[in-house]
Amino acid sequence: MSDIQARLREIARRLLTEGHVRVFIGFGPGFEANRPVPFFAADPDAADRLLLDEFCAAGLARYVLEEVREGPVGLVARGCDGLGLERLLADHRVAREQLYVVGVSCRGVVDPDRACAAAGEEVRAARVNGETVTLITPTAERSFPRSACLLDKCLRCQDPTPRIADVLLGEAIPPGERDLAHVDAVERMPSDERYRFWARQFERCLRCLACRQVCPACNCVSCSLDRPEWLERGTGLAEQFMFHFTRAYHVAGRCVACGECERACPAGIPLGLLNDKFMKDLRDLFGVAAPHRPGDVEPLGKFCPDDPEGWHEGGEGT
Amino acid sequence: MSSDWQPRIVGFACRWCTYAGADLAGTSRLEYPATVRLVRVPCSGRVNPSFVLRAFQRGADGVLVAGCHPGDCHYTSGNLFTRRRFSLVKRFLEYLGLEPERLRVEWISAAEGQRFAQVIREMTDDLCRLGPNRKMREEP
Amino acid sequence: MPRIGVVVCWCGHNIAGTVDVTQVTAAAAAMPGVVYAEDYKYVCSEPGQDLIRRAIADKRLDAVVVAACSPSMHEATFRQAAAAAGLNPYRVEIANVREQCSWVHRDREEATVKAVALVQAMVAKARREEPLEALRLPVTRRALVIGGGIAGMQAAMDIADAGYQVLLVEREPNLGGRMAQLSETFPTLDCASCILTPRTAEVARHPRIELLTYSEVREVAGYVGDFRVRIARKPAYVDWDRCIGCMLCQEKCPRKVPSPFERDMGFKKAIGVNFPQAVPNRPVIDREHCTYFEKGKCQVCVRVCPVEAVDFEQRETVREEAVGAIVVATGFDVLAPAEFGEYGYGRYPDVIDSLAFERLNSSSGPTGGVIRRPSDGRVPREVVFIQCVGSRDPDRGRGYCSKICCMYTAKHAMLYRHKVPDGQAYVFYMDVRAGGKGYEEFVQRTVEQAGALYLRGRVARVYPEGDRMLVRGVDTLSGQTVEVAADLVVLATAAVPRGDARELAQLLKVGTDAHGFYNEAHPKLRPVETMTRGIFLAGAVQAPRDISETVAQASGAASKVLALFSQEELVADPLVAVVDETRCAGCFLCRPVCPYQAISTRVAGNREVATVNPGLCQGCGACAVACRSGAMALKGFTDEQILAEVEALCLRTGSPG
Repeated sequence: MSDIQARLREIARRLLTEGHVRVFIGFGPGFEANRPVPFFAADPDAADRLLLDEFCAAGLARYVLEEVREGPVGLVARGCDGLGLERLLADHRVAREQLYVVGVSCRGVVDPDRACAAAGEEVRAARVNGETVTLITPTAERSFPRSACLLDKCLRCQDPTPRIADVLLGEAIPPGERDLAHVDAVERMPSDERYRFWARQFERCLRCLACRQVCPACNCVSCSLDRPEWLERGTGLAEQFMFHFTRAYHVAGRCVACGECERACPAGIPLGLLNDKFMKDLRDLFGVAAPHRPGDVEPLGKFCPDDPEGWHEGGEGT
Repeated sequence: MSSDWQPRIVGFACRWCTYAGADLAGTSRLEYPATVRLVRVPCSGRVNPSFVLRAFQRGADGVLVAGCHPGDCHYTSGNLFTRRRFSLVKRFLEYLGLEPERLRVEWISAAEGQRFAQVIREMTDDLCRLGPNRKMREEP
Repeated sequence: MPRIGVVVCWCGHNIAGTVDVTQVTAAAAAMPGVVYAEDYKYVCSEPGQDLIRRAIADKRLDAVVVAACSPSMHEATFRQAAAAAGLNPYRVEIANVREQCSWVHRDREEATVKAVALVQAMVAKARREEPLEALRLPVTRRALVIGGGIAGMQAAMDIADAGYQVLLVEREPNLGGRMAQLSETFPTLDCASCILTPRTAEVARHPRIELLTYSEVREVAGYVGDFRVRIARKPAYVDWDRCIGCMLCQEKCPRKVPSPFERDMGFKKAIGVNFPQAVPNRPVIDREHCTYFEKGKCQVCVRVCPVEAVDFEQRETVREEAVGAIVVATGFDVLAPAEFGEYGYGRYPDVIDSLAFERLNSSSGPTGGVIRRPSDGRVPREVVFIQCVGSRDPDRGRGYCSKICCMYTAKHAMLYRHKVPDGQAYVFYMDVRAGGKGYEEFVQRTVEQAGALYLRGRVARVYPEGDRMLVRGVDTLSGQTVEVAADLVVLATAAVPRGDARELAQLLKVGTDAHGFYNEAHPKLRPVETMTRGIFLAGAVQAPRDISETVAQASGAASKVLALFSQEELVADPLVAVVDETRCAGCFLCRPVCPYQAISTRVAGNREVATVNPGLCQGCGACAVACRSGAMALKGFTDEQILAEVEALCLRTGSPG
């Protein structure tokens, strides 16, 4: 990664020096070595503080929405960031000429908590290989399975490489099909148990709206969930169902499966499991790619004369 | 739950087909349970899926979304969007734990008064069997 | 809070017999915002309406809820009554306590509880209502007629005779359409051009009809009363203003090519008119076959033209016109029988379609009206007519009956016998459908006087033997295999929509059926209207039909246009979508769900937002659901109103907050 990091800094410096972009969005050092944070380089020297490693977790696409108001933006984009940008472009929220996208392929981001737990001590660095992840601690260097180290959102990633990069650093990894098998597990529960499952999840919701704030598909100027006729400010269970249903429905057919909502949720609610349910049914009923690639008409903005009536076919998992 | 408990059904009916079909049931004096109350909308395509959630939230035991048969929409294509939207929504609500019988999507034309009455009878029977809805609902 | 009045109708015994109207009225009086509640025996009666008018005035009501029969019955009545008392008519709501309550429930208590809930929902809706003004749209009193066949000419004449301007667009260089190709017409056998030619001349010289031949509609924008249409005039390569119609160019043109008008049985020149009586009598150059356009030399026409009208540099010109109504009369095509290999069409010259047979009969046709077969010019002694070629054939995608073939085939058999007295006509048919004035009698004459032999059954194969065609089929009445040696085989091919019917339908935003015929607004009650207000149908564009039906429908369409033009201004429902620009993100997810393309882009400040054209919007509300942020609202059915209704309907006891 260090070679790519050097090239990234070089490109960012050039873009900022030549005035192609007003700001370059990437990652910079956080309070801990394994927790880098989004970083906004606004001058050429700041470009040297950009870093890119296996711990860069946050999605960057959504930051673009604020930043483009002041001028063109450059950013580093993994596959998920790229899809997020495509979402913003398809929704006419940014214009392509306002963006300079430095693409990188991503094999997965290491979750520091998960990795430390696996390694049993502080993890300082990591290498993501094919099916394993090598964790480097002060005392050792050991390999673990991906599932023991990576962020949840990366375990089901289908797009390691962005499609819309102006320049791609490193090699492209071809996209795959999204694995939606985790939806089946919930579908198989009996209906009452399923309700209890979701009730337990939603009860924890703080209504902090972080899921909305990080979502590249939740890019409205004004959100209906801020309107009193739709949602009161309570956190009663019925309100929570209203909130979570509406949030998921509003991104149905538009979610790019970046997994940011779930990563941002302080209560650990498996929001991806909601988004992926819509994605699965869109795929199974209407043949929509999972996830739907932005740019084409939204799957809910069109129809086929012979669309199936999804309510007749076993939505019930039992 | 008392033995004479009756479910409450909120129905969204497009004004051109289903609402007119319900009127036809009336002019034909077809009797059906007094469990349903219709909201008249211009087209089933006007039914925001979150309306359905609101009905359950406020105490409906069942919800009916009904419009013209595909191909007969007064606005040409409104019900074809409804078909897509509610194909997803019905499955999603079941995924959240709602019993399938609690939400029905039906095409009922202005000529199908008989069918409207039949759908309400069936839904009422199903809901009587299930009892009051407690899911996604505010505490009464 | 708005002041709401509730009036509960007994409808005599109809409502009061099942619903306790007194209890409903008392419950209504306790609902928030309700300052007046009364019940009355027949609210739709004059004294009942007066009750509403007085209550509006005396109680200074802002909205009225009438608990009565279905809104489809008396919503208009009560809105008018309210308007008479100075209340905005869109502030009247109807609680349907008859059709959807007292008539369908028996238990008095249950019905009363439900009636209270229905009133409650309408009160909740009325509280969140805004006064709406009916949309008033100006009318451009000028019609566009697309298609210059018999349907389009009839519609154009009727509208123009009533005193309005008509723009008549025809894609061919001349008027006449399909009918110009016909020889005689059933059931009277009067000659088609004898009826048609005076009509084309009349249309051409009508002071209020502007004729745009050799032209096509390219774009249609706007809405009823104010359509904006872009019409392209194809280059004729002849300046028609200069041309005097002497047709010297046609006479001298050295290039002869098969004439599609004559179904390729005759020839035309690379410059000229389709047929001698063409109106307007102005030539066009067939660019594909002109020697000058091919090789850069020839120019015989230029040299012979006495007025220097030939202009090889002519280009397509496009004009934009404003019209208030559109009549679509683009007619039909006949199915290319190539897909029916078993009949040998295209392979054997003596297998022709019915339109070709019309040309053989026509005195201005390629044979001068003598029936001669294409292969050797011999007069055929035995002719086989095969009906339902492509029609009533669901296996090959066309289950419908083309309707005109039974009659024209009978006509062909009769005309043939008149011209070849010792000839024999055979007709293979499925059923003979001869509904129409004098039609059945005509078919009978064909059988009895003209001696046509009708054989019920489908033909399996047609193949050559010697210089004749062997037609093999089954007579399903006798069960026998039949074989006829014929000199000529005539196929009654299906009437199908024009090849580009769907594209035009899309421009016009008019629906089509599975085959491409245009949809009427209602098959019984609105047969000449389309679902797009201001656009009407005439003739075979809607479904196959014969001349007399076509003319009747064209006059019907014209009368609809005249009704439209007789209004001072058009009034439209204000229940349309509207955008809150401060909340619109400009994502345009609303746009693909709009069936009327009523949503466009508007620049508001430094960003683009959606905007709705209220003239185009029909108020379906699909956009309001597609809009996640709630920036798109449907007037009269806002999210707030519907949510309030839902809430009220869910209440088990008490009243809504």
